[in-house]
Amino acid sequence: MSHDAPHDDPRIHMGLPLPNGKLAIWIFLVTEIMFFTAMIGAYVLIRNGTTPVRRTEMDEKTKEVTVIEEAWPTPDKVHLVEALGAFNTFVLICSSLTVVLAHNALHKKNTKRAVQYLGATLALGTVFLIVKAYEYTSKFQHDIIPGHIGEALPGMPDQQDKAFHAAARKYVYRVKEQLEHIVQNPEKYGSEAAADCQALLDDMKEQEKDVPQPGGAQPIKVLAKRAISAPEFGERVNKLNEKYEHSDHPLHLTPTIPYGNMWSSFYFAMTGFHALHVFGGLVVFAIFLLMAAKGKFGPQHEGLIELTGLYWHFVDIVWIFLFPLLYLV
Amino acid sequence: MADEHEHGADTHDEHFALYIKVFVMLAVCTALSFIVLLIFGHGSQTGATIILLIAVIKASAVVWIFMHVKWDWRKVYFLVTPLMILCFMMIMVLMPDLVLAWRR
Repeated sequence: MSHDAPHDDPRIHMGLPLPNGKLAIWIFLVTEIMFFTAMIGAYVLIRNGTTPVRRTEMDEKTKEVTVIEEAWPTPDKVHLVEALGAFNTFVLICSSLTVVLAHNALHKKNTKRAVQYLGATLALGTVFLIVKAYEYTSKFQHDIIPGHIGEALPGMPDQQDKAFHAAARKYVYRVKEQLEHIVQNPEKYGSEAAADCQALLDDMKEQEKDVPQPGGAQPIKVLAKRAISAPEFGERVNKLNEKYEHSDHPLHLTPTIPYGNMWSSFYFAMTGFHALHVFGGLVVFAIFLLMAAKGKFGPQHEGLIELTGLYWHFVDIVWIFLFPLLYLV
Repeated sequence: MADEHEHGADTHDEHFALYIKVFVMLAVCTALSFIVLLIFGHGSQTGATIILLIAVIKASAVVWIFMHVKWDWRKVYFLVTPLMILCFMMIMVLMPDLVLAWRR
């Protein structure tokens, strides 16, 4: 196995002018690119393919009809903070820089400096994961989880109602439980919130009344009050959430966001897989730091650092594409 | 496994300055895409195009300089070139699905 550059050695070589490790890591990166391209491609297709749903709202007092278009949720609807995403992007870019400087330092045989840069990379990667964890807890708190979110709002076409009928029933059932929990804890949520929730629960109950029949026959039960429909329910849930958003104890009822389940599914799939990749890279960096702590790390590991750096840069590039697609566009 | 850096006259001190320059450029591009968002808002086609173009420029800078492809191109082109062709092909193949879904 010759380490000479090909033009130095007059013999004919077999194989590629590339160390095995580099070839292996590049092939691995190509497969990983295909993996993320599949998800990002699906996201672009489905997002562009969602037709905006036109729904109408009529103001009770002025009888003015406004047409609202519900399309793919914007970040503010799903409690996504763009500034956090931008900060995370900056953190990963810094970590890319530190890993390449670590390789640079190791090439110049400066092991101590290289270990410092590797430590910085690990720290920055951990910051990224912490910010991600904070974002995820925000999603869990607001119950923006695939399969949980309501999809129907009043004024949507009938097809929408029919298509989401079963899901709407499950949504109503879930939120009813949340409402009952609030009603049973007025000291935590406030009496006004508990009263509002009870009012909504009452509106979901059907009321029957007896119609007396002539001749002493059995009275017939008829429907006196119909329960409000799932879209109306969703709208009122959103309004309740909005009303108590900035109070001491926000209600955090599962919201109704058209296309919210699709959004949530993509968000968790893409950022979750990316975070797993970040975590894998951090494990490798931690191993290097352990080796350095035991004094077994040195300039002979320059190639290893370069290959790990290649993987880390790939992780950075994926985030460079995920950030605009999920947060900005 | 010594790495073959065919840099010629390049020294690694020169690379250091280049890495810092690229880092500054990446940070500026991130800030720029955020500013474009503030100007155009969400759901704007122009804004989206500019932001995604900036993302492509950032990714290219990372691949070219940080991943050393500028110097290793002769050694990795055979992997990267088919990938780029396939990516382009995939976009072409999926275009009809994008267009057919435009029922606005």
